Amino acid sequence: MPIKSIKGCLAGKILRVNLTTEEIWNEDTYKYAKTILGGRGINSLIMVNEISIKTKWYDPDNLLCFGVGSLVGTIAPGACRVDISTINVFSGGKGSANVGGFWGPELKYAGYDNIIITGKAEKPVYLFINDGQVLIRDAQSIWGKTTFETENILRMEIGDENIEIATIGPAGENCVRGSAIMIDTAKAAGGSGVGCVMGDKKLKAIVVRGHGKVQVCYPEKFMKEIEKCYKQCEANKKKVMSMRKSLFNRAIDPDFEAWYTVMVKRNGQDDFWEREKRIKLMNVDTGVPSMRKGVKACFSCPAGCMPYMEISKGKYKGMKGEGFWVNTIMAACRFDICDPASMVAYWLTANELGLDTDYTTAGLSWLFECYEKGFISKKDTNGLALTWGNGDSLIELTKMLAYREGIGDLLADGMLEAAKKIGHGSEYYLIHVKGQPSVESFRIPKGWGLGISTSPVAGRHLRGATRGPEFAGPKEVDFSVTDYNNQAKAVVWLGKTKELEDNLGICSYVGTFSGAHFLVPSNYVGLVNTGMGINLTEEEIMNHYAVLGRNLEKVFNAMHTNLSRENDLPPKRFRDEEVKSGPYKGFKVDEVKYNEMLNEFYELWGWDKETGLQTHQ
Amino acid sequence: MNPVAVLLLTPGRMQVIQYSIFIFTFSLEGGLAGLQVKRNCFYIPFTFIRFIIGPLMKKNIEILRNPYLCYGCKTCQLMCSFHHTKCFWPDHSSIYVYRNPQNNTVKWSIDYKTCDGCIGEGEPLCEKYCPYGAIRCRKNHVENKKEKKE
Repeated sequence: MPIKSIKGCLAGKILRVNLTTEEIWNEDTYKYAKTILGGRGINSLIMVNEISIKTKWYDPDNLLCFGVGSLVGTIAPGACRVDISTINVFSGGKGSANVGGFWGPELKYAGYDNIIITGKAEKPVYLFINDGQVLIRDAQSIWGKTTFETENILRMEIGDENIEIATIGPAGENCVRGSAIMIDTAKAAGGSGVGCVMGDKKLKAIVVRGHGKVQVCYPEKFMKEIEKCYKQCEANKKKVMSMRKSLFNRAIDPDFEAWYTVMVKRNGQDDFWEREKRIKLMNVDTGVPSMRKGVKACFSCPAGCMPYMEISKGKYKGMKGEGFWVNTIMAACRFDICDPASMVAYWLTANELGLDTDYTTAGLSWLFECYEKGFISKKDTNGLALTWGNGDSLIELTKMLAYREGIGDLLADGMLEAAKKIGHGSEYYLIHVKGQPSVESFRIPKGWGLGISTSPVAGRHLRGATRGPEFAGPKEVDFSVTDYNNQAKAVVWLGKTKELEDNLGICSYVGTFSGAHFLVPSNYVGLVNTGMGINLTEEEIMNHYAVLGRNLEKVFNAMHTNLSRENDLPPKRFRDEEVKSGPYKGFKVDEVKYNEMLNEFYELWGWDKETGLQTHQ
Repeated sequence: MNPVAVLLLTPGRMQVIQYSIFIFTFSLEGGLAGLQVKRNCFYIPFTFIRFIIGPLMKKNIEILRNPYLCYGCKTCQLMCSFHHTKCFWPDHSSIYVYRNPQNNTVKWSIDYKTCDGCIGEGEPLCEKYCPYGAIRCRKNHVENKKEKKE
């Protein structure tokens, strides 16, 4: 049933900015929201409608879209997410990154649901949004500064501690392909090179301050729905408490399941990391947990998971800031580094420079392997020894990448380009999906591999990748992590709920991804109906709005790229090489079984099995 | 007797004058804002309750936050504004939260001039909805002393 009118939750305006002509105008949100509810859906809709087929990511006509989910700004648990969409710098198709924090709600209170930026500024600028007042300001004073410095300078300059800032670091300014847009210095919108596009537009930051409100249609009914959600969180008390000690807390146990299933050692040479190294990294007394000084939460989130880290001794003494995730542990395994201080310092350095850590990890671990195999030598790396386990070299190399120094300049234009220049068949060792370097594991968790390979934004795990029913997936489908059966159903279900969560702005850790099932689709229906004053059923929301969101991204990819079925396969290395040790020794991606799974996946989405594209229907 | 003379002669006259100005300006604001904001028909009664009935019927309440349990998620600020205005409007909240991600601190304060202890809600919403159990409300310690004496 089409939505006739929306009576709440949205701010009602889309801010349009042309940086070339410095024009600023507003547009109505409701006409888009009636079709796709909000958030990423609106971004996708605008991109499909307005970006012409010939446009590349570096053209002034490319759009940089910020979309705040429709429930953001209300008390809905975990409603704080912002979607940032643009042309993907790696695949040329749809690029999208998702980020939490306090920036999204502040934009809503300033009166805007989305910001669409087009054009290119002549000199560095930043955008200042203060309720209805929007200014394009000179950013010469902050150009070249790190994300931490930028935040401090802007807070001082504007004189309001409550402003929220989305900024790029030196990496984004230098158009390093895998650079991120940072919010609150630690939350990164990393995927698809959105920071690179922002840097290319010479837009240093977007500063927001809002004094307005977000109204819901039926306040009493809405609060009843919220109470239901809170009760569900209470019921999952154990999971909530574990998340509140930060996400890496579960990995303190050296026998935690993820240590065996999602870790890739030494750029894919093996999928098993030795127990002693795990204990050394995650030891409570001397490892990473000893540097955790506190945990904080995003806006309106009942499952706070952001650790605040501080290094108190050693070479990196004094470095501090938020952020250490499961991805950091994946990175440690990938470089075979078990020194906790180096890993924390690496993560904080990447945050400071505005780099996407997944890109950096995947790309640099490939370079380490090139060094091991003798494709490059110390001469190429300015004297750095890129041996496995060398944390100091990693941090130096990260800085070289962000500032485009030495070999960093070669890597900054994309790892695939660099592989072509280095030669010696090094392209085979680069783990990437649709051009975007990926840190993920494909050989052991089958649903994880399928979700990542088929992700419309190239190689990221938040578009349906599932790590077994214990973590994510519908309760009624029976499947196991390492088995091919029934995986496609779980991946499609999770893909749909994730679309929905991104349109509504709910964090996936509070939603269906973490396995906690704090919120389930029936909660979303209740919240949307009472908040926005519409009348939808669970069937409609899952099978119409969620499917439409995914299809819009697929349409964009079909229009702008030649991506087809073969691009939905896992990287070649994981199809050819087996796991060499550990309990899953001998595992690899079985092409026949994977293709069967892929067929089922296409069928469930209603796409063509041969090409992987949409059918006429 | 002339009411102005009464005001001037009473011992605590400054407070009385301030209070009457307070009531006058806010009832004016309530009326004007009610005209401006067409969609929100709740606005007038809630401004009325917040600024006029609220201070008169104020519960003797003290709201405490445990900084070790607080995660800085701003839920309390949001729920407070919901009580006052029936929409989510952090600027119209009695609670103020500021979180600095660079040094792991959360600034938290409450304005007792506007806090009415959540009249009509059963229990204070900031305490009810805090996901981390960091907020506790208790009766004012002056009352506690009285109770102890009894």
